[in-house]
Amino acid sequence: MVTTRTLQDLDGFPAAGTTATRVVERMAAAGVTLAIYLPDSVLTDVTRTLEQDPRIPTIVCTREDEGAAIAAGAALGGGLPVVLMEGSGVGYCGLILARAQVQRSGFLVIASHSPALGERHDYHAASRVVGAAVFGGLGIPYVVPRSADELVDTVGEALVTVRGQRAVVGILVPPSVLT
Amino acid sequence: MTAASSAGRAIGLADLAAAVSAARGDAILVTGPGAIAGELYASGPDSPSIYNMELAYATATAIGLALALPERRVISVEGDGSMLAGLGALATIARYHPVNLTVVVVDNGIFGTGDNSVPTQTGMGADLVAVAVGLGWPAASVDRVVDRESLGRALSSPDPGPRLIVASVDPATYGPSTGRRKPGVDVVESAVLLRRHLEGRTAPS
Repeated sequence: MVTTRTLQDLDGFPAAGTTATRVVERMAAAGVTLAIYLPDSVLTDVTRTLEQDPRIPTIVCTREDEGAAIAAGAALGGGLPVVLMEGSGVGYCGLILARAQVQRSGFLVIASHSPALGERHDYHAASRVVGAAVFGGLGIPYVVPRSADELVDTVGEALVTVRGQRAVVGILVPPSVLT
Repeated sequence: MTAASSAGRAIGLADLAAAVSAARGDAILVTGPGAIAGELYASGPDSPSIYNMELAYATATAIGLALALPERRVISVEGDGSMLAGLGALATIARYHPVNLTVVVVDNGIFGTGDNSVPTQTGMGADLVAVAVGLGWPAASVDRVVDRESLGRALSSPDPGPRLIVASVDPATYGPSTGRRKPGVDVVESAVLLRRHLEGRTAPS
């Protein structure tokens, strides 16, 4: 596999390590204060790594929109939160994402599945489309990374935007990027 | 049972708002949607608050604030309809027990909108105290308050949180949704004012 060394890698972030550890390293470097998640197969390595990292407290929510509301509250309190979920969960989040955008209590949403890339299973038919639909409908900027390296960079850069713009930013992760 | 039944619900809405405002100190307040937001603003307009958080999300938002600001007391106040819509937040509180969080449920047994004629599930027998205990809250951390005196005692409890106060509020003290008091700040302003408050900045004149 060809690994692209990015500006951030050359700037001090290790290119080695699993994708999950690199993602979490990027979160920690960006100053993420809280990670809220509902378990998901694609994101399992990332959430497991987060649970083992003492730098970033984690909360397991009961439903994804509750997690987004917790993130909005943490952002109101001055934190830099991340919410991780299956793409289906973004479908529950429309109202609270809209409120977070309106009141500028931004956070990063990392959700699995994307409309077009690598979706094998029919039971993800709704999951793969609802994330992009909700983000697009609300005008929330989102990115679909094509590789592990791109995911790592996207997390770092998206967190810059979350903090700088006080905005919600989404990342939709195709299954092949992490599994 | 009709939605307008006041049986066992003796606390006036304005009295509840006044009691919360009197007891809050420097606590950050998050209110759910509806009449309670305007009443709380009227009773404490200069305090850091998020008003009219969307249905089901006031307490979840308060969890995030409580976790981000562990040295600061946070109070969520939302109606029984909103709490029922966001019950998962009560389970999450039971799991992580943020000690600086108090949840006040305005249990009036109605959806306080339109002509207030539609009962909520608590108006038809659902018991949020029992639900909370079933979700993992210690019984000693949950109060059912039915009058101003017990409400005041619960709000000033020295026991560590999290605490849940289910306040039996008289639905007859709700007017129709048109013409109610509204917060004097909008949802954007209240978020900006809270941020400025936390950063030690004053609002520009």
